[in-house]
Amino acid sequence: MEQDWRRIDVDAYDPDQQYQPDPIDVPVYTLQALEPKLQQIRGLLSRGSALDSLRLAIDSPPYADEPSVKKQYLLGVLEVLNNIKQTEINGVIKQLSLDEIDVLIKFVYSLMALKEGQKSGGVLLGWFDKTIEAVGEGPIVRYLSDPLKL
Amino acid sequence: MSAPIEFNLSKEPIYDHCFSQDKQTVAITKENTVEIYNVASRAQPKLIATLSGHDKTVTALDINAKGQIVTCSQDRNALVWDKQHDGTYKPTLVLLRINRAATSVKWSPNGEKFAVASSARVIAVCYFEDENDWWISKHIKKPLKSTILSLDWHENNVLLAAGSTDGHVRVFSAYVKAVDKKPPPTVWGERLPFQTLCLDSNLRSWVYDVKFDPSYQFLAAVTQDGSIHFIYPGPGDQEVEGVFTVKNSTLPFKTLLFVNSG
Repeated sequence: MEQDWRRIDVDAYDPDQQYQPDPIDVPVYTLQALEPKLQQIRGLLSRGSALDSLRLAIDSPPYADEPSVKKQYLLGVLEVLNNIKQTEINGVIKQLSLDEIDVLIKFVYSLMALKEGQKSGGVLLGWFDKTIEAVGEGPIVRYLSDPLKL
Repeated sequence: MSAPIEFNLSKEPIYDHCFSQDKQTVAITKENTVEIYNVASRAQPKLIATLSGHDKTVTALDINAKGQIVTCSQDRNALVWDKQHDGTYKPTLVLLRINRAATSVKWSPNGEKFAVASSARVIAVCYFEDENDWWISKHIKKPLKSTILSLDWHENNVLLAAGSTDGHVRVFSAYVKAVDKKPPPTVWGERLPFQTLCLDSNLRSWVYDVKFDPSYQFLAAVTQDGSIHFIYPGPGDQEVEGVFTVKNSTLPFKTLLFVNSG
């Protein structure tokens, strides 16, 4: 006997009423296509231009890709975030636009969900804290409501 | 900026409120009922009527120029309240034929029809049929995919803007042959049979409120991602000429209102 009949999802049994979310209109990259970009990001980082490296990572991330591809991309971003010194973070944040900061916060959330990211938990929390202090809660709300997810 | 006038009328959450035409009385929702207060004396609001008729929480109400009040509730019904000579209100049940809660209700500008937004992915446009002496509802179904949270009427009593949790803002025609005369063409479209989709804009996150501007040339909407959007229609069929978005760094806005046309 169904005890929890109030929580049955009635709509799941109705063929007419299945919710179809809108299709995501973003290009799908393959891991091969992303390799040169990830190399470039690492290159810029080793040459000391951390801000440019971060900007490149923020520009068109692979929203529509497989989780495995997304993970490789996120690990590349993690390297960049780890290599920027705590004292420089505020300077970097000041130079990013509001749109770029939205994507940065998305990266931080997605990285916190990965085991590799959790190892650098302190660094990620530092980025999160300083960014939200400088900008407000807008990026958090946008991370929650945006259909483009990493 | 002058200090706001505060009325402390209820300990329960107020889902919706509406001032009367002369701004002397205000109706507020209170759980399953609606209370009407006389606020002519700012310090001492007086309760003048309580409207009980709904079985569940009243989610929205609206008052038209004739003084008729329409309320809608989570009990999937709407009631139209007519004021009697002795000051009490008599309710008339409106069969909406929806199978989920109603979320919002708005009278059309001339007070002949009203539209009810619901979680049943349907907007019920209701008008009074004289021969049978009851209110009939017609449904706008396509292409609504999710709960509609907000409605706004165009001044021509035919066009209706709707904001929904599927992230879309849409403008429909709610033309009812029995009640409306054919409206003159506007920027929103020319031939407008019932349920015509005049505009569909994907804003990608839940739309909490949508309003026509005072000149009815464009739409403004506020969404869950903390932005305010302005949507301009184009000359073609369902064409969107431009969407301007103002991103905000605060928590999201829930309602919006045009104050003047300047």
